[in-house]
Amino acid sequence: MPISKLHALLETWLSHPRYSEGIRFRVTLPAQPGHAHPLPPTIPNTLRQALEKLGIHNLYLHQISAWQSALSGEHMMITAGVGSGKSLCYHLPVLHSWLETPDTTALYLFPTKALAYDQYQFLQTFLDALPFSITEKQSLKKQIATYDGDSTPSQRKRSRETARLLLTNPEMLHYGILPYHPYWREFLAHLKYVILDEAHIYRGAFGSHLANLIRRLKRIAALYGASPRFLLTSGTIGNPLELAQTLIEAPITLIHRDTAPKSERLLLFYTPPLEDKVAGTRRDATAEALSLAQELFDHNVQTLVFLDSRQGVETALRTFRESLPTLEGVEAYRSGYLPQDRRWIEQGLREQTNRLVFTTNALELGINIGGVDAVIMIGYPGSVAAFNQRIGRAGRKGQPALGLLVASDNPLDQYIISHPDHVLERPPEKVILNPDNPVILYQHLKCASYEKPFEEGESFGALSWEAIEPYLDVLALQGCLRSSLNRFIWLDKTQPHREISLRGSAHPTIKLHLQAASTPSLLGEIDYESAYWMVHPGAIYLHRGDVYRVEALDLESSQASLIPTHSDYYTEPLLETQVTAYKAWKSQDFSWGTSACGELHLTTWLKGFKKRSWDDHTVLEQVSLDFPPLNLETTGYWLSLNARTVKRLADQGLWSNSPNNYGPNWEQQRQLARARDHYTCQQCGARENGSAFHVHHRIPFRRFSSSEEANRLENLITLCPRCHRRLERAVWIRSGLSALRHLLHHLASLFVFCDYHDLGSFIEPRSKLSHNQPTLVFYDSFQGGLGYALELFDRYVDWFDSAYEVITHCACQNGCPSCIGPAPEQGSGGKEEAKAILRAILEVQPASYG
Amino acid sequence: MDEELLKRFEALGIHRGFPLKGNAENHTCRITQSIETAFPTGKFPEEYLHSVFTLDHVYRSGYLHGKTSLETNPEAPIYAGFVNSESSISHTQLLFLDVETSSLSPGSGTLVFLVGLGYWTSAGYHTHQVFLNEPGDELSFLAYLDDWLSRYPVLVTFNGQAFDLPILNQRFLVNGIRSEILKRPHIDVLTLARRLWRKRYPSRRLAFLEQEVLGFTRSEVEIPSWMVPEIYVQYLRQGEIQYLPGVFYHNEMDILSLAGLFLYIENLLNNPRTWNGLSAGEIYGLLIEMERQNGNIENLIAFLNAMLENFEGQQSDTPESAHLWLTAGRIFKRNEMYSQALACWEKAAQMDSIDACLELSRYCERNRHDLVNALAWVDRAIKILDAQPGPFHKGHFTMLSQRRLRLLTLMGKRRQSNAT
Repeated sequence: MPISKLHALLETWLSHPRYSEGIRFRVTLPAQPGHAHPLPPTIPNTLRQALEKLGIHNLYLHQISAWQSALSGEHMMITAGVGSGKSLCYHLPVLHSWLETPDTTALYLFPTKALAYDQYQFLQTFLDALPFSITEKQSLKKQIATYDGDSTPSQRKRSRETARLLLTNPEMLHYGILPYHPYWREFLAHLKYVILDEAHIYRGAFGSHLANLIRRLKRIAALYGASPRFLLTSGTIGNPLELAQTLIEAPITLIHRDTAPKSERLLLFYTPPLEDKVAGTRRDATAEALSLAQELFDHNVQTLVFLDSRQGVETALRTFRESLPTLEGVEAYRSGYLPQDRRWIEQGLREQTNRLVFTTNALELGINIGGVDAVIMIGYPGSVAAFNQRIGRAGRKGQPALGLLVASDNPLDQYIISHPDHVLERPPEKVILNPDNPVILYQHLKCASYEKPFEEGESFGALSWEAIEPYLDVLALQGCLRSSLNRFIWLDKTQPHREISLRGSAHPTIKLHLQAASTPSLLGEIDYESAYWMVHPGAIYLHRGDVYRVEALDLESSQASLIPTHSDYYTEPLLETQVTAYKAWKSQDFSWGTSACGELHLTTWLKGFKKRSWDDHTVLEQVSLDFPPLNLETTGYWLSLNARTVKRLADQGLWSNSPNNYGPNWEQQRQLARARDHYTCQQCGARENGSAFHVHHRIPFRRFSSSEEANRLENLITLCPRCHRRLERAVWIRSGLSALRHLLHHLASLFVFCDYHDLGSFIEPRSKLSHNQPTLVFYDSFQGGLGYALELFDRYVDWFDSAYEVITHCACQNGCPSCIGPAPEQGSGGKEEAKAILRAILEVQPASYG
Repeated sequence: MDEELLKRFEALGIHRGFPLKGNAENHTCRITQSIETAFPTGKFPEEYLHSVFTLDHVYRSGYLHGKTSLETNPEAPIYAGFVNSESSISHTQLLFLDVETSSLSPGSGTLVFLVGLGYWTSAGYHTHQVFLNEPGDELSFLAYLDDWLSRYPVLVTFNGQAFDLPILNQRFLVNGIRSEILKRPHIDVLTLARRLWRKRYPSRRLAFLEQEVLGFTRSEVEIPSWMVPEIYVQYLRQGEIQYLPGVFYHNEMDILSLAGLFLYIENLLNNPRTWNGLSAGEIYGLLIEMERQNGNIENLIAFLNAMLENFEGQQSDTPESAHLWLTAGRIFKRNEMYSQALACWEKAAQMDSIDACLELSRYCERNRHDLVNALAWVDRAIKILDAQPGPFHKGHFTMLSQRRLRLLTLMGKRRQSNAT
């Protein structure tokens, strides 16, 4: 779409009262012409002819560098933007090798089946373009195969026996190839290349699993005498070399000069205007985005709309269609659809018959869909890398395009809206993974010993024998392995591979069984950690719109039983997490307290749950539960305030905060309370001696809408001045830390490459971690830890800085979703308190380094 | 033992799996020697330390496995059609083989722990069972096996194609040793059984055939296959030897029955004279097998001639009978014995074989130039097709009517040319 048309559309929005308020920032990213070079002379004629037949007469610099690097036998990692021809970087060397030495084999690992299929199609097309006879081409094409869950048994057999180029995914390598490697001997013995496409996906738990999968692959390939070269590609991330080296544990050449052309792009950052300034609530982001999408659609601008959940995608499509039911060319796209439907939608995007597609991050990855004219993101996708991937989808060859971020009301999105430079100017995030996470390593050593016995002195990837032997000893103790004569051999009837989920948690998923009528049936699944708070006994659970009650939860056997129900309430678990043990690895002391990181042993107790009415959310009942606690051993970051600082801050805050007016009936209620309490301090037992004791509001006065409610006798308690002060300080600190926790947790993704749910957080007013001082704790919610919280230790100043900025610039009075959390009820109010704490932390320089 | 790591794992929640039995110190096992108490006549071959344990039995003449003798002339060549080989193979050059594994899955973590071997000498049929007493030293076990395997040119198994040989091959590979075991000359008795007895018996499983064909019933010592892996694992983990004799018995009987079935089938193929008591289906299977293997035709022809003479003896009411006579006819025809061929086909036609009618029609037309009878046979075939219950085979009908039309045309032309 011509830039003038885009600008015209923008002008209408800017002058339109409905939208103009929301457009907070705009910038034009200029087009970058590509720098292409003629095909290097080292490319043999056959390939050259094929390339030219496909219309490729030149190569970009990164493609040429990749070619040269591969020729010299190096491992390599190529980083480049979406649509920059990354795949040719690996296809050319592999095809060259294979055509020259026909028994060469190559293994391609894609994170999704769709990507594998896409590249399979490309290879078929490329082979068709080769200057060979039809029979030769047919014979070559037969040697390329996809291998995934959809392959039939006869297809799999054929792949094992005859495939030379195998396109597959990590799961198939794990379940289908490695445990049966002797059947793949022919393929593995000649393995020359392993391709890891879109490697930036391999972060966190999934990345840690993949790194171990690579260790196992290398080990088995070596058994057959093969030592393949690894070719990786990735979108832009902060640490591509580090990622590649962590994944393959070998020296690697980084190719990052991407000279593919980029279209001119107009970026808009939009936030739905405030509806209630005091409460801080805004118009719904999805509704706003749909309205903008409608405008684009009407102007015939091909648009992709990214949402962050499958549910969101479905709802958006439904809502859009409700207003214009007979529209064609409007679709949704996500995993869970049949492959042929997804192919059809992709094709429609390429051919521009699909004008508007609502999608999850499934379309973030490099599936070929041509480029669209506009991309709308509902919500910041959590990382600069993902933001760039999504924006990268906008822009057909040479045509300018539009990128639009519609922010929701959470603190992270609002921060981005106010700080577009974070996305545009700061370097992209560093990918974090931890292949040596003990749980993950244990699982893979188990599988590796099934695949081939371990001999004493053997290493596993970069881990020495001394590092892995303790794990093998444990496996032997558990009976899976037999240890004798310096070898560890698998000795069990079962295969361990199915126990592991490469993308999920350390524990097996909990199966949700529907106990209806005679035969129980499987309703769905849920991961172990979520099970605790979503399907605890007595919980009300929603699934695809239906309501169920959980009868029983058995974590040992990974099962939960549910029955359909009608209820007028929903449930809210009462969870309490505590630190049961810890070991600080690094810490810094300051005049206000301590910042530290290290190992944490956490125990979460499910004390019970509340039943809340659907209609007005009032608490109908509170039920106690006696349930075994959830233990998490992980890594974390914590920050604690020392007693002196707490006293100083709280006293200051209370002095400035104390309202003078507690309403007309205050005096009367005060007297009544003191009388009821026999003029005795309810905390320490001291009796009034002379001056009147204080009367304290259990729930702070300002939380109530009326003074009558606030001053009810049940809410009042008599305290001596000292106890009162102590209690008030405790309340003050708790409010402040609670508020701060909420904000910091949301902002963490700005500084560490993880999702909101990859971290857990809580506050402990009297914590073991800090000699009973109030402490704020953040931890990796994955058993064994992945390294996120440790990163926070290094970056805490920037992190806290950003939080301070958000608080001070937020226009709400007592808190809102965009800063410290919605005011009262769930949130604690506590905005002022949080601000004061941050100020104390940020104004002071570290006193010593630990 | 890293106690701290163990505690850590417990805290991490990965102490699932088997509860620990036995003592903690026990797990890094020394080589157990208690197997000798279970098998006093067994041996630990020298140079293999105690990693390999063997047990031998010999079955001399007079032994009956069920109602079957395992006796044979060891130096006599085996049925020529079994193996493609320039020179003949004697019975002493056969090695029978059956393996027991630590798991029913074919994955790389499955161990072969017991290999039953069988062979003939002038003394009789020998079984030699080789047991992996120490998985840590699998290399010794494999070396020992390799040595044995190398001394016999031909292997005989039951389903070895799909199971025993690939899994042995796998153990070699996992231990880094090249193996040519998959390329060796090999007779898979299951394949033979399937071809011969697909119509005769409801099952071709060894346990079934052993009973039905050999008349052998196993004793109560027998352990069923699905229990075998567990017993080995328990032996290694806890030194539990109680059920090992059952496992060895199971394996030994497999080897004996394998030899029994081999001899039984070989005997059949060598002696078509003995087919008289067999069902039509079985004879049909044998005919096909002999044809496939280019076996000794003379005996076959003699039998078929005899079969023709004693027609009443053959069941003529089973569905296979028609196939039998049809095939017999074709064999005669291929050997240019036409009168016998016709006789067979006529019998098949009487049993409503459309193919036989066609053969007869073709013969009439080409060999005798007898168009009238050629047509008559086609009509007969059409009549049979018409009377058949079940789905209508349009293809057959089309083919038959085309043939009919062709014959009529030819007849017409001939009449014309005769007339002129």
